[in-house]
Amino acid sequence: MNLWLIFFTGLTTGGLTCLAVQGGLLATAITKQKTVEVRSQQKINGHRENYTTTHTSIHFPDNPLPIAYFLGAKLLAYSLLGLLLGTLGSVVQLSTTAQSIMLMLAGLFMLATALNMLNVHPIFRYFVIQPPRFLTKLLRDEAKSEDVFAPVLLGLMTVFIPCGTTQAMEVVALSSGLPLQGFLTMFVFILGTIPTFFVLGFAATQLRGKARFAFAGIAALLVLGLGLYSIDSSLKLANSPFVPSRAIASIFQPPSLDRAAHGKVINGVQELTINVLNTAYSPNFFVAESGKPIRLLLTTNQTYGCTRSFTVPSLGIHTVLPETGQVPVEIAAQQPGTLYFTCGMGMYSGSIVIQ
Amino acid sequence: MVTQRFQIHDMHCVGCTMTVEGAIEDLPGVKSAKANYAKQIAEVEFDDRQVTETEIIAAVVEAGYSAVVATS
Repeated sequence: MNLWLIFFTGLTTGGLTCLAVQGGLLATAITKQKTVEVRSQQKINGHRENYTTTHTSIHFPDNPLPIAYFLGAKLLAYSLLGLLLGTLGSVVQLSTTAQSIMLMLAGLFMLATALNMLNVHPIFRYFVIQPPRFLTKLLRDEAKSEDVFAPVLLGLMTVFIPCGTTQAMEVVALSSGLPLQGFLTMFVFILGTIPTFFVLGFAATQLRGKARFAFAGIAALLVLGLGLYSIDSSLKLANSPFVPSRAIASIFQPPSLDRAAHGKVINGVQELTINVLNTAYSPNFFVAESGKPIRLLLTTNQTYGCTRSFTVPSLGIHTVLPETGQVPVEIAAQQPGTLYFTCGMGMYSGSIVIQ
Repeated sequence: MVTQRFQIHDMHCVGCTMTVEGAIEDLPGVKSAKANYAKQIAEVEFDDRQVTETEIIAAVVEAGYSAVVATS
């Protein structure tokens, strides 16, 4: 998944839509902290005055540390969750087919989430996961606590109250099927939400009416985009004859064989060298002859990410490459046509035109 | 002890169910409040000698939502 897109989603709308919920919790914890400080000062002065002022206004605290603890704990909790989800996804993933199905389900779930955020129909509310009551009660009780660790605990527990955008991100982490990818997805997303929390602070908890709807709208569109991207990837992995992204690309930039890379013929075998980068295969457009066997030389150099999970869906080829090295993949002589190769998640791909 | 269902409006995410439950349960005489996001309702168990339906609705309104007594 494109980490920049995830970061951008967190920065813009992920932060704002979740702020209304989690910001309220944070505000409660910080306001209570201030009350405690004032009371103890009164005792030190030797006076025993009854301090009965109630704090009903939400203001920006002088001390940024509680917010820092809260956000740090939240980042830690969600990143670990991402790691867990990615690992779980790798256990669940048995084959390219299974991965394709997961991506399709993930994409459909994200579409439903987006449509719910846009209030299209009440039925989409059923796609939102409501945490069990004992957890939400624990969260509310902790918010009222004057414990100095409250911001940290609250930050950790925000994992249990993800809002729409966060849930969509969790699905992305799960469908990555790789622990590192899952970890990075959640880490980068939450990192994106942090500036929003700091800058807007508690003001956004006052967000009502049109402003809230506008931000929910932007978030929904981004989640919709992610959902469509996931469905597109699913179709690539399933070797579907129709892939939206390819159809659109061919309209704007019809594939010209002048740009295609050629291989070297060694002992009657066409050798195509593909450099496996973190977010691409390079080159990713080849031309080869029919009737002659092909050997793909997949070269990695400290590569991480799903490009290391290399697949040729139409031939049922799936291999996981080492971090650094060169792995040969033998392909029997082919009839004229186009052979597509793609990463394990169907995101980064390339093609070989067989003439 | 009485159990009454309320239709809650404007709960746009699960976090809102927490806010609604918290607002209602803070009232003296309320034993429990269970809000359901998908159905947009809250089921409240309370002692009707200590708190009234009107006060429960007022608490929900103050939390930023609106509520009516559910008819069915």
